[in-house]
This record gives sequence, C-alpha cells and structure tokens, in this order.
Amino acid sequence: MNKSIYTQHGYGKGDKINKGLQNDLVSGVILSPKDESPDTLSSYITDLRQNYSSSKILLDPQFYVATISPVIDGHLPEYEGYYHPNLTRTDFSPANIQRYVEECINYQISLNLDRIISPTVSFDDFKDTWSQISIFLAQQSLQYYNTLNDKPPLLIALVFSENALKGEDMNEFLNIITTFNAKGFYIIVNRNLRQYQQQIEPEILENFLHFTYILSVINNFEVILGYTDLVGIPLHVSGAMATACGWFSNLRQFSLSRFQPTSGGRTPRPRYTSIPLLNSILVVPEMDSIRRAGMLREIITSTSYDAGMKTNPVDNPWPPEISCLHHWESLRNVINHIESLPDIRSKLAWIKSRIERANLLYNSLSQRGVAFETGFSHLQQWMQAITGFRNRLGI
Amino acid sequence: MAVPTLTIDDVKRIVPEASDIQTPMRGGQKLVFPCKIEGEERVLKFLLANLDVDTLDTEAATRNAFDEVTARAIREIETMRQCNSPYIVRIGPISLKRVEFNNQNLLFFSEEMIKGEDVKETLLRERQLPIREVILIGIHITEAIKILWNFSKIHRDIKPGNIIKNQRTMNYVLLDMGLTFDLSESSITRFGIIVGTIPYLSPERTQFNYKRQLDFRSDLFSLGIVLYEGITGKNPFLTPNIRTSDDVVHNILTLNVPSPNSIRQDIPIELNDIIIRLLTKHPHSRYRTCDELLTAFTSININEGG
Repeated sequence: MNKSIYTQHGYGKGDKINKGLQNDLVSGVILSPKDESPDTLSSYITDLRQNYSSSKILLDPQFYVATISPVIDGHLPEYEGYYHPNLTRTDFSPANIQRYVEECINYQISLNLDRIISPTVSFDDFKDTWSQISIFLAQQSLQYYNTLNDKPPLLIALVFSENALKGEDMNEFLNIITTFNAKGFYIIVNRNLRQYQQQIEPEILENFLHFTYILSVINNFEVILGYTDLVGIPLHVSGAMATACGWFSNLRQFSLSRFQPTSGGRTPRPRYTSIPLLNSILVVPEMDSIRRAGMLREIITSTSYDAGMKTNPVDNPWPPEISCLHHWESLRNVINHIESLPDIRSKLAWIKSRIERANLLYNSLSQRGVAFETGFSHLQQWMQAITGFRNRLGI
Repeated sequence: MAVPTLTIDDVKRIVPEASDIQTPMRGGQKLVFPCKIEGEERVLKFLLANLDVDTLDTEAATRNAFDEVTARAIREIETMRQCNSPYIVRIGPISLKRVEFNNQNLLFFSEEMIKGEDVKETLLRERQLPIREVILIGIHITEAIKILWNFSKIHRDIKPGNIIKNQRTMNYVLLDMGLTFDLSESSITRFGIIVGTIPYLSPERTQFNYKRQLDFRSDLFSLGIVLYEGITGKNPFLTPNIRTSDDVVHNILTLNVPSPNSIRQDIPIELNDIIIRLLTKHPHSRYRTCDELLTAFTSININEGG
C-alpha cells in the first residue's frame, strides 16, 4: 500500500468521507462502530466498496472501550457478536481471551475489509498488567488468525497512554512485539490534551518516532497510526505507512475521554490548517489577525479549497466539511512530498527546515502583534524530538 | 568439570564397531576420539554422567536439573537429529548410550567427522579474515541459526572456536549443540546461571530475568561479534581497560562499538552496516528474520579479490 492518510471515521460523517475518497485526499478509512449501528456500518462498507474500490477499508473494533467505566459507548453494545461492556481484569482468563479474539476477528472477516485489526485493551505503562493483557490478546489473535484461510492481513492493535512513551520501558515491549508474525500494527496513542493543540512533550514524540521507526523501517511492519493529525507529519518521516485523522478535534487527536461521560462541550470553532505554520489555527481571531498584519499570503497552504481564504477569511464561507477536506488535502500533499524524498536522512532534513521556517514565520507574526491561543511552542518541542531522534540514528 | 579417563584400547572395548581409533582430543567436558564406523570417518564423544540420574528419557532428564551433563547430551543429540543441515554438525550412527567402565559412568555418542580448521585457529594465525570468508561465515551461520530457530532453539555459544570450515564442502559449520536452549521446553540451566562464553554473550543473555524472552536474535548478536572479530581481528568488547568478566559484561551492555570500517578500510559499506546492526543492544533493532539477514548478506557488493 502507498504511504498516505486515512480518514478516522466518527460521529457526523455526512458526506466528508465520500468526498475525501472521491477526490483522492485520503486513501482509506478506519471505521468506528461506536458511531454506526451494525446494519448501517455493514451497508456503508458495501457502498464504499462499490464506489471506491481502490480505497482501503478498515474497522477499528474499539474493543478497548469495553474496559472503560463509566462509559459512553454509543452503538458498540449493539455489536453483541464481539463487544462485551464493563470488562474488568478478572474477565481476561485464557478461555475468555480466546473467545474475545475469535468473536472479534470473525466479525471483521464477515465484512469485506482490507485488514483485520486485533482486539486490544488500553494501558498506561509498558510494564503494567493491562499491557500484559494486551500482549496476550495479540498472541491469541496471531494464533487464531493462523488457523484461518482466505483472510485479509492482520494488524495487531495497540492503544496506550502517551506517558508510556517516557523512559526506556518501550524497548522490552518492542523486543516482544517485533517477534509477532503479523502484517503490521494499528497504534493509537492516548493523548493528555485538554484542548486541541499540537503540543507534545519532546521525549514522548522522540520515543514515538523511534517506536514507529523500529516497527516500520527496521522490522518491515506496516504501521498505521490512528488519530495523529499534524503530528502525523514527523511520524511519516519516521516510517509510518499511514496516519489517520477525522474532522472534529476528538477524531484528530485521541483521548479515552471520547468514550466517557462529559458535561457537554462547545460548538467547535472553525479552524484553518496552515502547513507553513504547521498548525490548525482559529479562523477567528488568529487568521483574521494575520490578515490585518498583512501576512495572510505567507500562511496559506494552497489546496483546492482555500482560494477564498487568501483575501478575507472571516467573510469566506468555511463550513466544517470544507475545513475537513482542506485539512486532509494539506496533509496528503505534505505526505506525498515526504514520500518523494529518497531516504530518512533527507526526510529529516526536510522536516527540520519546515519547522525552522514555521518558527521564523511565527516570530514575524508575533512581532506584528498576532497572538495565538495555544502559542507555537510545539515547534520547539518537535524540533527537540527530531534532533533527539536524528542523534539516535546517528544522522 | 571432569573429563573421562579412557585409552584407545578402552574405546575399542566399549564400542567394538569403531575402527581406526585415533588419539583423543579434549573438547570442553568431552573426550573426543576420531575413528571409523561402518567405513565412514566419525568422532566418538565421551562424557562423565551424573550417577544420580538413571534415565535417558528427554523429559525426565530435563525435568531433573541435577544431571545437567546428561540433559545437555540429550539436548545436543536431539538438536543434531532435528536440524539436518550442512551448516550444523550431524549426529553419527551411534546415538546416546550409557556404560559403566572402570568405575566411570560414561555417556557416549558419535558425530560426523568434520575435517578443517575452526575460525579461532585461523584468526590466531591470520589475525584477520578475507572479506569473502567473513560473508560466507555470515551466510552459513545465519542458515544454522535459522534452522535451530525453526525448532524454537537458540545455540547460546556462537564463537570462533565453535565454527569450523569443512575442508570437504568449504561450508562453515556450527559445532557444539550442548548449550542449545529450547524455548518450547523447560530450561536445563538453573535459574541465575549464565552459560556460554562471556565475550560472545548478547546483552539480553547477561540479564538473569530475561531468559524466557530470548530468541534467535540473541544468536545474531553473537554472530555479529564473530564477524566483527573476523574482519577486524578484534573482539569489540575486549577493550584494553578490562580487568574482569564484569568489565566485559559492562562493555556488552553499554559500549557503542567503533564501526568496523574505522579499523579496516576495505570493508564494503553493506557488510559494515550489517555488523553494526547485529551488534545493537536491543533485539528489536537487529533483524526480524534470518531470511532478511541472508538477503542483506547476498546483496553485499564485493570487489573482485576482496
């Protein structure tokens, strides 16, 4: 499969996925059963197959939601064939693990998917009990998968907290999972973010880059990273086969709180993805301030959707669907460029220069009085992480 | 460890089907007699068994950790029998037998006779090996590691002295399956004991609590040391400052070895990169499969005469 971005499906898909696939902005979709009934999901897969035969269709079974309590699991309880809510540690006996795995894989085989994604549980630490359960589920998935004929390739799912990526514990975990005889991995990192932003601790990003590099470049696994948004750009540099993001902020960046009760949220404010700034900024007030500072041209990405934003973003209609398609096209163009570069050395040099340019741009904007709600410290964090990663590779 | 006391005449009496019995060599805990059996050149290997264990049954002997000698001999023979490969020494027509002789409780078996020189001897004489030979060692020993791993086994003692160049086939052959570790069975090595030869241990082998997660990538690390030594003439972990075996272990765990081509200029970059990759501290950064490593070896661009 070509390196690319996938749509992370969720609530309120409207026509976005179809348009994304139709216009080749995304090359696949990762479906969310939480957000569709089984019948709707099944017929939706049939439609996607008929209309976009070359696109990749995957389903994240979201088995990890079963251990969250209290939980908002949407349609998941309707997936009685494999989803069992309110599971606790004691429910993961060998016999039960075998049953969960078989049910989950069988369900996916009954659909016409391009990959099977193994059931998993989320964990906070590579040495905790839940990570062991995650390994057992993966091993059982491999074992069961090997008994089947005519099956799509298997991806082992991993869902873990970004805090797990601090320190060196990931190495022993990597030593284990690199022995798995699977096609690849579907990985979701649970972020600690309170609001939509691009910040990530340098140590976490450096280890995430390394984790991806070890699996993809060194061990030739297909690595698909869910809910990655703009941080997916450096992760492509380190070898990810695909990164996925959706439309709302909770489909761009993953948090288990997506499956927990909330006191309600506000309507998302329109955002514009600026590749020169390596950020998705608020149309009001940030982009408007940039216009008033006379620097709009410098931050424009130039996609098929943003012509109207080049002059007066506030008055230009920027509905969520267009914002989303623009976001996907922005990411696709960057990823295509990364993939055109010959090796990791040149990819790292390229991302480094893009960060430096973005930083200069932010500094100019700051000098002209433009303020950003979440600042631009993510650039420094990304740079630090990439420098650390380069040093590890000896580049 | 004691070695049996036997003469050529003793062997004639114990194994009447053996002829042309030659002067013995000592190999670890074994006394090794070159001879002929059924007209073929073979070696007969004798060990002293522990009297406490009265079984040749694999499982029972393995379960009973008191007689490691017997258990290892059984393991060695099992490994040779399973892994029928030109790169692993083969079992001969006499399988494991036990006999009491001159108050010695003896175990013996036969192996194919491989005539040739081991890599340790060659290195003592030549100091460094030609690049082509290093690549051949890489390919042949990777094949051996691969077939062992097909049976869930790791060798655990890959070192120059356990690799011999077969004069007849010109293949490098891996010897001494006595420390072979079978991950699918219970261990024959008591908890907390490191077996193998320290300067050729992988980092994970130096950690007691790691044993259950060992896999073939540990043997790949040891192979990396052999290749490094073959091509540069130096074991990278035997640095001038070492005093004790703990210092060697410390080096294995922490030392970033100098690139082989910083010591010898004519090493193809691909071979240099393979050796560096084999010597990475974490198994996940070596090779995912032996086949990938074999592909890497066969893609090395070597100049004529190298």
